[in-house]
Amino acid sequence: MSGSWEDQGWDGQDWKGQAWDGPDWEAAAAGEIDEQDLRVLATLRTVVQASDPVPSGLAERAKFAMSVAALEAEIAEITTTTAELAGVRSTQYDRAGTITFSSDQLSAMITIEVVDGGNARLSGWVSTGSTHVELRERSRTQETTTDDAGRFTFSSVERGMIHLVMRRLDDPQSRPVITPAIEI
Amino acid sequence: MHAEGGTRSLAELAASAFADYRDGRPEAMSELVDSTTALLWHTARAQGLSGPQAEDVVQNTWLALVQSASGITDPQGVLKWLLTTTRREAWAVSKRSRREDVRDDMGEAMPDVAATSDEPAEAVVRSAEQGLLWRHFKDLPVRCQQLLRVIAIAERPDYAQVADALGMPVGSIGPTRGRCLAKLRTALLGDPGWATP
Repeated sequence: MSGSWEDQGWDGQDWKGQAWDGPDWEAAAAGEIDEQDLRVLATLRTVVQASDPVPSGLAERAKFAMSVAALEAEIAEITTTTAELAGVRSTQYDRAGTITFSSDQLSAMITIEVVDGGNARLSGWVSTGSTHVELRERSRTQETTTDDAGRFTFSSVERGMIHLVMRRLDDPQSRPVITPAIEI
Repeated sequence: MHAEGGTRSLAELAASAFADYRDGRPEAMSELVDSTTALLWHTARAQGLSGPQAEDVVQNTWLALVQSASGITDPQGVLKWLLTTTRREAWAVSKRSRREDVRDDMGEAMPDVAATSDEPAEAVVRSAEQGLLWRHFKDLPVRCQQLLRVIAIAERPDYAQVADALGMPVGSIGPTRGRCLAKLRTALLGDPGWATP
């Protein structure tokens, strides 16, 4: 990767007819990066960031794709399309929301309630027998197992994007099921 | 990623996050994605990809990291690996889409691929200083534009690694300014509109 400039298609003459090589350019190019250079780069950064912003959600979508791949997981679909879901996703965080999911293996339902304006409480139900439920928050992971009635609860959930990963304990060979990102 | 003073090395951050991930802390990967996705995005865009193409390439790079995680022996090389993978994939996509454009005999040509990196900055330029910089930047050879566009998003300790991953010769930038930055700097300092503070 580190051949000469000529290997990279530079002919030494491709910049407004001026030679790339020559004592002045060599000296300028060999100089240490100084305050002027940093000002040039900072200004360029401002222009580049404003003219070509990183699409919002790109990092989140990448993370989800990575989780699915790492777990070899089945992706559950959100089957709720009501206003309740919109309420969860909107910026009005003071409403509770219920979301239902389904995959080939199982169905699940979760309810999210914001507790005293801070964290949220997430309670849910899974249609299969005993199931291990992993809650992936932004910076931590919590785990629990469903009770005899298929219910589970996480009493303190950080605001932000979350996923649930569900693993059937009654069928250890089955693939884990992951939900799409839910914003709470 | 834009630490005060610009001295925080993304390469080191990437190395420690990746090591944590392999030690069974999946949330470390989340931090790595948050801190590095912007650099990968601009790497893909600098190769002339459209927005949707660049999004696919960035996402595929992250997927490839998960799939190759056990084969990456040196966490210190993770940033370079990510950048190199992005650049190569972007190059392949760009080449493929140029070929498809040629085959497109309906005349409904997609915008010239190269033009997508030619983003407009007129609309977003907020100051005379920025406008001036952009004009001189567009006069640079394409390779220099590709390099500096990504370098501008990177932090200083990572310059050399970024340039290397972009396939630029050693010494293209960092610790010395290299030819591309020297050209841009000289052009600006020679322009009366670029006020020296």
